[in-house]
Order: sequence, then structure tokens, then C-alpha cells
Amino acid sequence: MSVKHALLGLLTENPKHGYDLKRDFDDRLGDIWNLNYGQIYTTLERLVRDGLVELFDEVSQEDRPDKKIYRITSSGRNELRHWLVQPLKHEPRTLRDELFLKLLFIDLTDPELILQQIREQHSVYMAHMMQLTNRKYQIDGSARRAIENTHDDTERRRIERNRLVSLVVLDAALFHAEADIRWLKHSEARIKELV
Amino acid sequence: MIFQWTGWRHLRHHWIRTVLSILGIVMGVTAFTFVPSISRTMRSSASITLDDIAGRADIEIRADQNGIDPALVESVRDVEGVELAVPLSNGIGRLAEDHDLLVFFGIDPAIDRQVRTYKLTEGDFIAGAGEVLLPRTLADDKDISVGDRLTLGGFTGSHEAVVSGILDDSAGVARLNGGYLIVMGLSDAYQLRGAESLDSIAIVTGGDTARVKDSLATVMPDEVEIGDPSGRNRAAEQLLDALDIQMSMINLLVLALGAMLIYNTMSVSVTQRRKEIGVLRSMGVSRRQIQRMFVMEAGALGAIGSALGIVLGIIVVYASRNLPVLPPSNTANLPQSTAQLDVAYGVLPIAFMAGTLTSVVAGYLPARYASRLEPVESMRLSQAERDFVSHSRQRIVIGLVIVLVSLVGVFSLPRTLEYFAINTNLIYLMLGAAIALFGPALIGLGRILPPVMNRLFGAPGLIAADNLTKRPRRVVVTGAMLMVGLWMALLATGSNFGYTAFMEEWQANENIWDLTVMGAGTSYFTPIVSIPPEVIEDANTRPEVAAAVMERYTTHTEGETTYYIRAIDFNAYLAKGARLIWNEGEEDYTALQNADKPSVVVTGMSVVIDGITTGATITVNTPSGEVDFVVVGTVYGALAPDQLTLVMDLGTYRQVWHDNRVDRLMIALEPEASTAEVRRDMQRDYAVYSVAIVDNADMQAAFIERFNSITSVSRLMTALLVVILIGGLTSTMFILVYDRRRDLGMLRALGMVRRQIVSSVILEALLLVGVAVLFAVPGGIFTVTYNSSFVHDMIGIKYAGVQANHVLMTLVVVLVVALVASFTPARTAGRMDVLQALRYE
Amino acid sequence: MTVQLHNVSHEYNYGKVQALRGINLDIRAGQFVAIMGASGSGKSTLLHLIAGLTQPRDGDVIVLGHHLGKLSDNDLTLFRRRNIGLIFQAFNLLPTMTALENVMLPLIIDGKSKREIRARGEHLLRLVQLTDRMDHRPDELSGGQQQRVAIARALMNEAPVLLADEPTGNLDSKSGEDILYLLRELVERENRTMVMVTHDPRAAAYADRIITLSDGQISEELGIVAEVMVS
Repeated sequence: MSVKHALLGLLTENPKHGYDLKRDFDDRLGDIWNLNYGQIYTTLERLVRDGLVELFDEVSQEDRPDKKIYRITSSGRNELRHWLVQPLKHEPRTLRDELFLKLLFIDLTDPELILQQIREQHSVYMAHMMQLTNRKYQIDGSARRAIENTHDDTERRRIERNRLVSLVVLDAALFHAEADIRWLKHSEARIKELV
Repeated sequence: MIFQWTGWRHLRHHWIRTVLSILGIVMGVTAFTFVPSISRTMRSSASITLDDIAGRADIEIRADQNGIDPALVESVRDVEGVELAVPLSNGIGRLAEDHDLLVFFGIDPAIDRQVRTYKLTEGDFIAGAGEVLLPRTLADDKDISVGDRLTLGGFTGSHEAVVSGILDDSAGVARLNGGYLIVMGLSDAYQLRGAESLDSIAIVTGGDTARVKDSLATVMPDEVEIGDPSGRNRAAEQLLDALDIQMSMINLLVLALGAMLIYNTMSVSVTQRRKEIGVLRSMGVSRRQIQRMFVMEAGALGAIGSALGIVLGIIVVYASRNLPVLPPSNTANLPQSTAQLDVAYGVLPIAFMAGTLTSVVAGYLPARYASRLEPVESMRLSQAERDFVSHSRQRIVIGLVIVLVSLVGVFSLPRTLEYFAINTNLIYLMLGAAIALFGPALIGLGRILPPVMNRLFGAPGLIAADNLTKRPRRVVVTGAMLMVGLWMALLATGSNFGYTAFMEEWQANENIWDLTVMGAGTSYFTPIVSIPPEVIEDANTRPEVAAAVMERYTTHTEGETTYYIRAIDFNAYLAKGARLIWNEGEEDYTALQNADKPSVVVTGMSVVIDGITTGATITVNTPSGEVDFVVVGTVYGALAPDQLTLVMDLGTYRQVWHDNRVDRLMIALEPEASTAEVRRDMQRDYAVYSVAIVDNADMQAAFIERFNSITSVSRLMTALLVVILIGGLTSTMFILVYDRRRDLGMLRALGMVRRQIVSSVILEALLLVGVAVLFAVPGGIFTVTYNSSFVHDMIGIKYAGVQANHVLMTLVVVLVVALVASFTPARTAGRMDVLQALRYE
Repeated sequence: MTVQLHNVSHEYNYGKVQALRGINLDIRAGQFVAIMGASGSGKSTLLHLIAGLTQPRDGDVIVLGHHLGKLSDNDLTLFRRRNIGLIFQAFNLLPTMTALENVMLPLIIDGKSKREIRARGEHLLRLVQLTDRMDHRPDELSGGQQQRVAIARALMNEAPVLLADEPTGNLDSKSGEDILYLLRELVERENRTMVMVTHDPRAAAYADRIITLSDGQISEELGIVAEVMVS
């Protein structure tokens, strides 16, 4: 997953500085991808170096380093466009779950331990799903309220689009969580059978 | 085929519904077995009587009112070709101190056994005067044995005799009148009868019957009838034919009911086995095989039902043996032999075929639907229901065509044909109208009925109305059956009420007398000997007698036609307030009493057949020469409705026939006088004369009995019909309840209490019946009214037509039918467990 | 406390199957509770008990202060009529009635005339976004639309307690989601109490509280209370 393209995408809207970028990123993808300032600035520097982004402005602040405002360049736009239309890779994503590792060393005469782990993991995922769903609900609600309060069509479209993006992302997380839960239930059944 | 198993499992699992569905077929086949058995028994009884009376005879000479002079027997024996001539003289009487009417069978003991059958079990055959034979039944009932001395009482006093032997009443003469008969010598019979005359001479020929008949005609007087023994039963045969047709119609109705039940069940079954059908189809089973599977299931149900029906029918026949089966009487007024009610075995295979075939036909449509099902069909049923209603145009056309055809049938058939054939056309008329109107009616009802029912009965009403009008497929066939059944019930009861009403009218107008003195004869209605003048004079002087009206009652043969002549002293008759029951013509007796212009009123069935109307002239050869009698009107006769009778004034008769004889004396008593006492006195005083004193109440009873044998069968059929309708409606309601278990469960889950569920089922049954009534009552009124005029013309008996209280009674019965039929299904619906119902697939 | 189950046990098939064993459960007003568990774990039975459709072998079921075990069959039915809204997995609409008539059914059963309640019925159908299908019969509606009619029907009597048995079981993923969203909205907006039986984790995730049944007992309970997870 490319941080580079994420930042480019965010910069197409308008010039932003690092703080804005972090905030926007969190808004849209914060639930599934944790990004810190360090990663952002490192990527920005690389983007400037490659000519895809340029420094737009600097605002001085007291007691703080200057706020650098970045802007996307035309080659940056090209790069983004190119990336957007590229077909996705079709390999399934690799699964790296600590649980698999534990399973390798399962002691079959005491399966209760691993079953307990499975159960706990299940609760975690379930609770996670509840949280994600709640979030979806809230987003949808606030989007609806925002639309009611504005009469500007462009604004409306923007809110709608953001809402859609957030929901798609959250749905992705939910579906994956559901898949994991199903796998857990399935494994639990297999292990019980073995005993 | 392997997948037949699925059918069996399904039937077994839903065994209640299976049982209910074959109920109709069972009942239909039972009726199919039982009814022809009755009919066949009555016919064989009629023919047995024939055989018993006529025996080996090829020709029978039958007397008219006046009897045959015994001297003529010799002349008959002289005729070439006559091998045997055997006389017979009958009478009616009683054993002393006993109430039961007996037939006195007077024979020539020397020769009678050569023609008729007598099975002697005890004692000896009679040798001559003073000896009698009794059938076993009579002997046992009255506790009489061989050697006992009996006192016999005829119309003309009593006579003593000794019992010489007992007859086995399994065959022959002893079977007549149910075994209530006494065989005696001619001389004894003459005494009891009061006259030396014969009723018939039975003749055995060498072979050339026709020539012998011609020869006999030259020897015998004109008044007697020379014919075949089978001629006796003409009228009876006709009535039996008519009865047969009526019964067949009921049979068909019941079978159709059975078909409807099978149809309902198969439809539900198909619906429930949708998935199964889908699976089979996906495994490669063809549509035709699916269709055949269901048709065979229907056939299997039919076969089982038919088999059960036959068994049940046989049981019913044997169980009914003790019930008296009264066949209609024959023209000679001789009581019939009663045959043992027996199963008509020839009918059994037909009954079985009928039941099975009906089921196969009934199962065809659901089978076809099953074969057309796509593997995935969810709520498409609603669509099918709506298609069912909406194909109105097609149906309207079909309906109108049927109406037109049946109208043509109704109005073009000659009136003298079986009126039941016309009635069949009327059924088609009604059904045709119903089919044509069905679609629009249902749509209209579907809009009006639910809100109205909701307003009146709340949620149960809404549910009931909605089910009825929006899911018509299941109920429409039931509705049709109900409609036809109700119509038939109306018709049957209308006929009955007609008879009763006519009786009442006769009682009020003609039969206002207390006693009738009549010359001795074979029955209440046929005097042979006239009343001596002394009796007339004496009767008139009795203080208890308020009035005595004279009447001459005789026959007259004119060429081929035989008339009855009834000459009444109209002065006295009218003075006492008696009246004839007029049909055509002005009720004016003055024309009749004008002796210068001889007039008559006519009555009888042949009035219509021979086309005699008011204004016509009947030419009669009398001792005064040829006289033209003007017909001034037609009246209804109760005494001999099938015989052409000329009713005239006594004065006219005496003037034309120069005959002062009097056969009947109609007596009205003073209010305080006791009929029984006067009768006893008269019997004592007139014992020496050959007269009978009859209580008019007895006369009425005898008259009623004549009709009752027919109407009782009709009533039995109506009762049976009601039972069948209840059964059919109950089955349908059960099937409906099972069909909608899921919906009912859902309604209960939503908060409908049990009582509301019960109400909705009952309301639905009431609505169904109500709709059927809506069609049936106008139809029934129309046909009964139509029949009234028709039958009146045919038979000359006045029908009362439709009466308000009879329609009301039908409605009450219908209401009761609906309530009774819906009771158990409603209770079942109410008792349902909600969760079970919701899981129901 | 809106729903209380004290030590409730239930069985069927004459004791051969223990559906529930000694269940204790309290549900407050305004809670959205999901009940999960493998098939045969007794989820639906729990729902039936709360609805008064069946009585427990042991224990007490108290809903809105009514002790259901003490009510006669008639009183139970009336109680259900006025206090419970039921949503089934198979939609169980009457096929002969339009969507609107189906929605109005609970109050028609209660003796109200169509005139009185029509407006409310139409309002509810608007709520589930079926305004243009009011006069359609069930067989003219898609699965999702039928389920929405069923939901509108469950709301007709303004029941404080809504019970749903696998409401999204027969629906595709998107339709199901719309339904769940609607249910959640109802609970939050009108402070109804919702108990939903489901085996679908994504559906259960819409609840505030997830109770998992296993072998007739509560094996797990998850809940969100003010964004804080409680396990």
C-alpha cells in the first residue's frame, strides 16, 4: 500500500501542510491504517525530491518550525492518474496472523488453551465490528444532517462522496472481520472434532 | 415408479386431510350403491306383485268399477285358445277387534294354484267356503294358528272362517300387502265384499295371445279391459322412472362434491410439494411424468374411496332392510308386495368406476398445474388466484353460451316429456348464469364485502371476506356444489309442500264431510255396489245428520276411452259449503245444474294429454242417445287424479242415464254429534246392507299415504342431501384452515385472540353459503314456480308453488348447515398452537 | 427494566432437547440487543418466550412489568397485541392484502377502523421508503420490500418492545444493511427496546449488546456503553 499515492490524492483537492494531511488521512482511512507524522514527512520529502510535489508556501509561527504548505505538481497529477487506472494485483493478500503461529505449536493433549485463545479472539473481533458499525452509523447520521443544512450542490456532492468513501472503507474492514470470525468458528469446530 | 413413494408418504403424513378428501367419493359411491338398490327393489317389488297376482297368466281381464259377472268365466273358458281361466275377487277388511287393514283374496281353490303360487308350510290348502289361508307374517303377528276360528269384517259386516293352513310369504300370493292378506274361497269373498263380482280373470293361453284377445273382446262386455298383466304397472313404472332420474341427479351431485374435495386436496398437496416437484424436475423427471404422478394419486384416492363407498353402501342396504320401502301403488289399487331390500350387485362395478374416474378427472387440473411449476415459485399463488378471477371475458362467454343452450332446451322440449329432463336444463341455466357472472361478481364482492364485513364484525369479518373473495379457487367449486345442492333441496321441499298444500285445500273445500256411506267395493275410492234407497232415507232422518249429499260414481267406456263419472247433487253439496277445486273456467255451478244444457267439468291427467279445454264438447253415448256435454271448466281431483273424470250434476246424470242409483252419501253431522258413535250406529243398523261407513279422516289418511310413499323418498333424499352438504362444506373448511395455517399462526402472533380466529372461520362458511344462497334462492324460486305450472298441467294436481315460509325454512336450514359444518374446523383453527403453525410448510 | 428473565429453562420434544437452561437476562428500555448462537442453541425460543408465544418450563418471564406466566392465553394475546412488535424471518404477510392493509393489520385486529389508522399506516410505509408501493400485493414486492412492510407492520401498534427473528436472513447483503440501519434508527430515535436474533455477525454488530447462547446458556456478552467496550 502506497503512502505516496495517498498523499498525492489528498493534495489534489488543495495545497495542504503536514498537519492537514494527517488529519485528512485519519478522517478517511484512520480506522484501517495508522499513519504517523514521521511517515508523512518522510514521504513528502521523497515526493518533493521526485518532483511530484512542490513547496507552495511557508508560514512562520512563533515557537514553532515554519509550517510548510505543499502543492501537487502536474507530473504529480500524472503520476496519480497513472496509478489510479493501473489494474490491481490479483494475488490474495498474505495472511500473517499470530494465531497461525500459535497453531503450529498446538499441544493436542491440551486443546483447551487454543480454544480459549480462539474464543477471546472472537470476542475481540466482534467488539471491533460493533465499533466499526457504530462508526458507520455515526458517519451516515452526520452526513445526512450536514446535507440537510446546506443548499450548495457542490458541497452536497462533496459530503456524499466522502460519506461513500468512508462507508466503503468501513465495510471492507467489517467484511474482513466477519471473514476472520467465520474462520475462527470453523477452526473451533475442527479442533473440537479432533478432540 | 420410485417417486410414487413421495406421494404415499405425503398422504400418510397428512392423513386427516386425506381422509377428508376421500369422504366425498365415499359418500358418492355409497349413494351410487344404495340408491339403485332401492330403485331396483321397488321395481322388482312392482314386478313381483305383478307375478304374484297374475302368476302364469298371459292375458288378464280386468274389471272396471262395476266388476265382472262371475258367469262370464264360463264364456271365457269356451273361447278357443284359452287353456285356463282363473277368477279373482278382492276386498279390504279387518279381523274383528283389530285395526290393521287386510286384503281378502278370493279365489277358486280348485284351479287357482295352476296359475298363482302358494307355498304351504303348515296345514292344508283351502277346500271351499269357510276356510282361509294366512301368510306366516300375519299369523305370527296376530298369534293365529292352524285350526283357529276367525271373525272377518269387510265393508258389509262380518263372516266366520277357520284357518286351514299357513303360507310361506317368501313367494307368491302370500307376499302381497306385506303378508297382510287372507286367502279364501270366492263365495266367502263375495259375502265380505257384498257383491258377487270379480276383479279379474287371469288367462293362460296356448300361445296365440293376440287372437285370443280378439276373441275375448267379442265375449266380454265393453267395460272390461283385456290386456297384458304388465299393463297394471304402467303408472307405477312411470313414477319409478321419474324417481330414478331424480335419484341419479342426486347421485351425480354427490359424486361431483367428491370430485371437488379431491380437487381441493390435490391443489393443496401440489402447493405443499413445490420443492419436491422442483427437485424431481431437476433430476430429469419430465413434466408428463409429474402430471401422471399426481393424476394417479388422485385415482388412487378415488379407488380407495370407491372401495370404501361400496362397502359402506352394502352395509347401509342391509341396515335399511327393516325400514319399510313403500312403492307407489298400481292402477288396480292393489297393495304391493314388498321385496326384501337387496344390493343391486350389477351396479357395483359401475359405482367403482364412477368414483375412480371422477377422482381422476378432478385431479387432472392440479396435476397439470404441478407439471407446469418452475423449480422456483414463491408467492406466485396470488398471481394464479388473480388470473383465476380476471379471465372474466372468457368465462362470461362460456357462461352465456351455456345459458342460451339451456334456455333453448327449456322452452323447446315438449311439455309432456319427463319434466326432470327440463329440470336438468334449468340446472345448466343456473350454472351457466353463475359461471358468466362469477368473475365480475367476485371482483365486485371483493371490493364491497371486506370493508362491510370489517365494519360489522371487525378483524374476523375482514379476514373471512378477504379469504373468500381474493382466494376464490378453493371455494368456488364448493360454492357451485352448495348452490346446486340448495337448489335441489328447494325443489324437493317445494314439491313436498305442494302436495301438502293441495291436501289442505282439498280438505278445506271438498272433504268437509264427517262420514261417507258408500257401496261396497275394493277400496275407499271405488264402490261397486250402490247404496239401497232405504239406507239413504234412514240416513236423512237421523237427528245427528245435518245433511246427506248423494253422489253417483261409476265408469263409462266409450270405444277406447274410459271415463269416470261423478254425479253430485250440487244443490245439497253447495248448500253445506263444499266446493270443487277449480282450475280453468269460472267457478259457476249454475251451468252445471242446468239440466237442459248438459255440462260437465273435467279433471284428470288426460285433460292435458287429450287437450280437452273449457268450451270443448265431449260426446257420450248414453241410454238417451248421443249427448254432447259442454265442458265448462276443469277442476283438480284428489280421488283419481290419473283418470279422466266427468263431474256433473246428479240431476243431469239421472235425466240422461235414467239411473237413480247412488253410490256415495256424503254426510255432515250436527256439531255436537260424535263421529265415532254415529258411525258405529250406522254400521250396526246397516249391517245387513252391502254398504261401508267410512270416517272421512281415514279417507284422508289413505289419500295422504298414496303420496307419502313418493314424498317420503323425496324427503329422505333431501335429508341425505343436507347431510352431504354439511360433510362437503366441513371438509372444505378443514382444507382451507390447513391451507392457511401459516397465516392463522401469524395473525395469532400479531395479537388475534382464539375467539376471533374461530369467528373468522365460521364467518367464512356463512359467507360462502350466503353467496350460494344468493344464486340458489332466485333460481330455486324460479324453477319451483315453473315446475308448479308444468306439473299442474301434467298431472292435474295443483301445486302451491313457492311459499314464503318454505323459503324461510330453507334459509334456516342453510344457516344451520353452515354453522354445523364450520364448527369443528373453526374450533381446530382456534386451538392451533401458534409456533407449530408458523413452522408449517 | 423492560424485559426480565429469571432462571428460565425451556425444553421441547418432551425433555429430549434442552433449549434453555437457567437463563438470567435483563434488558433495559432503549437497548438494542442481539442474540447469537449456533442453530439449535435456543435463540428463537428466547424470543418466543419474550413474545409470550410459549411458556417456559421453569423460571419467570417478565415483560414491561407483566409476569407472562400468570396471564391467560387470551390476556397473553392481548398483551402481545399492544406491547410487542414482531418481525419474522419469513415475512408472513397476508398475500391477499395490499402492503398498506398488511401494515394496518395489527390495529384492525384491535378493532380500529381503517379510516382511523390509514394515516399512520401511510406514515410508516413512508418511513420504510415504500410510499410508491402501498397498494401492491406481497407477490409484487421484492424480498427487501416485503421485509420493510413487515417492519412497518411491527411498528403499527407503537409497541415499546420489538422482536426480530433473523430479519435479514432472506435478504441480500445490501437490503439487509438498509433494514438494520432502519432498525437501529428506530431504537435510537424512539427509545424502543429491540431484541434481535441473528447468526450473522455483521447484523449483530448493529446492536448495543450481543448475547451469545451456547448449549442453552449465555456463554458470552459484549456491549458498547458510551463507546467503551465492556466484555
